[in-house]
Amino acid sequence: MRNIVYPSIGILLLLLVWQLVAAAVGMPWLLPTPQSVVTALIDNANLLAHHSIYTIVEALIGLAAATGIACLIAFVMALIPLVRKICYPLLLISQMIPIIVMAPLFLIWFGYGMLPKILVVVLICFFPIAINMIVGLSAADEQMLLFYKSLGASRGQLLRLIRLPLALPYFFSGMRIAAAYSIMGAVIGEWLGAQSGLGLLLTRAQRAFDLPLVLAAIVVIVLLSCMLFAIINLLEKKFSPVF
Amino acid sequence: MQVSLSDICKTFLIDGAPVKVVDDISLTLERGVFASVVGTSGCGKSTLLQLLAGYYPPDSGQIITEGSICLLPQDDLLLPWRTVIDNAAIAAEIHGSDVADARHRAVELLPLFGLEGFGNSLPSQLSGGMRQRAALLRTYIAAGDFWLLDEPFGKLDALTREAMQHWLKQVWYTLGVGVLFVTHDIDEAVLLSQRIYVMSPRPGRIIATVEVAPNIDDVDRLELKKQIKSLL
Ligand SMILES: Nc1ncnc2c1ncn2[C@@H]1O[C@H](COP(=O)(O)OP(=O)(O)O)[C@@H](O)[C@H]1O
Ligand SMILES: [Mg+2]
Repeated sequence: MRNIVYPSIGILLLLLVWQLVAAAVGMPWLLPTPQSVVTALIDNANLLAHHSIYTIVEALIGLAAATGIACLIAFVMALIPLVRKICYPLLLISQMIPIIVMAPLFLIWFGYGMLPKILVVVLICFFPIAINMIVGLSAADEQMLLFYKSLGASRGQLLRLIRLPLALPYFFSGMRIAAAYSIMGAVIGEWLGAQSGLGLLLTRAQRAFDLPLVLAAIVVIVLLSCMLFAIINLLEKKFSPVF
Repeated sequence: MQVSLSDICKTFLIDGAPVKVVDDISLTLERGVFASVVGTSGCGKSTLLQLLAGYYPPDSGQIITEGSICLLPQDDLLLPWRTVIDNAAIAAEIHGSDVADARHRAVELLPLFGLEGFGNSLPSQLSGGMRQRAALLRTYIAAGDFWLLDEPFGKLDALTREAMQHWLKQVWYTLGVGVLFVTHDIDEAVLLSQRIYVMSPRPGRIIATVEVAPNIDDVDRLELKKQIKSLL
């Protein structure tokens, strides 16, 4: 219960301050009240749902691809020290390139379809998963591996019996961050040119100075991100070892 | 059935410099015999057991093992996400032998190991003494002939330790295994062992082998402890 109570207090306080400030400013076309955002949400429900679907699909495909790529990278890097030494700097560099600069390049290379958006999501999401997985797969201490090796365990058995179970909690913390960012990644991709999606809706609403709709789209983005976050938490409860 | 070491040496690189940790150690374990190694901390006791368990080969010397042998490491290294039974049967899983049979044996041994009703508990739900007994159960399922015990009671409180010492002596007697028990506690070694190897500070070598008579009286026991203490 407390898990819900305290965050709710924070959100309600935010809404209250917002409502008071907006009422005091008295210029709804510049600073819409929360009330008008709710109205925009209801009036544009179909429109928002239509564009959300594109964004969700891009985010989910991107997240899935990122998970696969990140796990592959993490396995190879954690198990082969030489590869780790060579690739670790590249991994870091990949995160130093500003996404906002890469997205237009993807657009030029891959057009206005879903692919460039998915690539932006992959670029944002693979990193937290890969980094956490590398740490997780290296979490078993030397003494533990030596002991189970002395019981006769092969490298594969050490991986399956010890390293993977130890890595699972790390994997899920990476997934949580990635899931929270994935919707945002898709929106950034759409922002720079798309046929559908919340990012496109945002740019259109902005050009039309429809601020309540802009804010309504942002609310949808936040809600979708929270939902993915919650799904990962559920998966972790189901699959991650408890101890 | 016995395990014999002859002229074992082991050198480690510590901060880049080679340091001889185990120096020319020879000893023999026999099934059914309880032997101890006493020595100050850092003298190479764990290294000796790890050589016997096959963690790494000795630099020189020979180890001949008959029968099965298993180490109980200083930290029990139970896998925290596995239940007591699943931990106990892990060796069978690794060897690809009959896991169901190993689990069945583990279940039957729970009362002897003071774990009745805790077969499905996770290690984090056990007390310190119970964890050690669970780890010892894993050792027995893995190897029925020789146990290498690395300061198994070192982290227990005094009362639990005393109870565990008496319990271990009984289990050893019941199962008839050969034990090499490492400790820095002379009282513990004298209480449990039939034979005590006294190890020097680094480089660890065996400076005395003391036999403890089965019917030793309190006066002689005190004398024995004094004698070992003076050696260390
Ligand atoms: N794998 C290793 N690599 C390098 N040094 C080690 C290793 N294992 C043990 N040592 C060193 O060997 C010495 C003896 O260690 P150990 O056998 O654990 O002593 P004890 O168990 O008697 O306290 C210590 O100085 C320790 O730092
Ligand atoms: Mg030690």
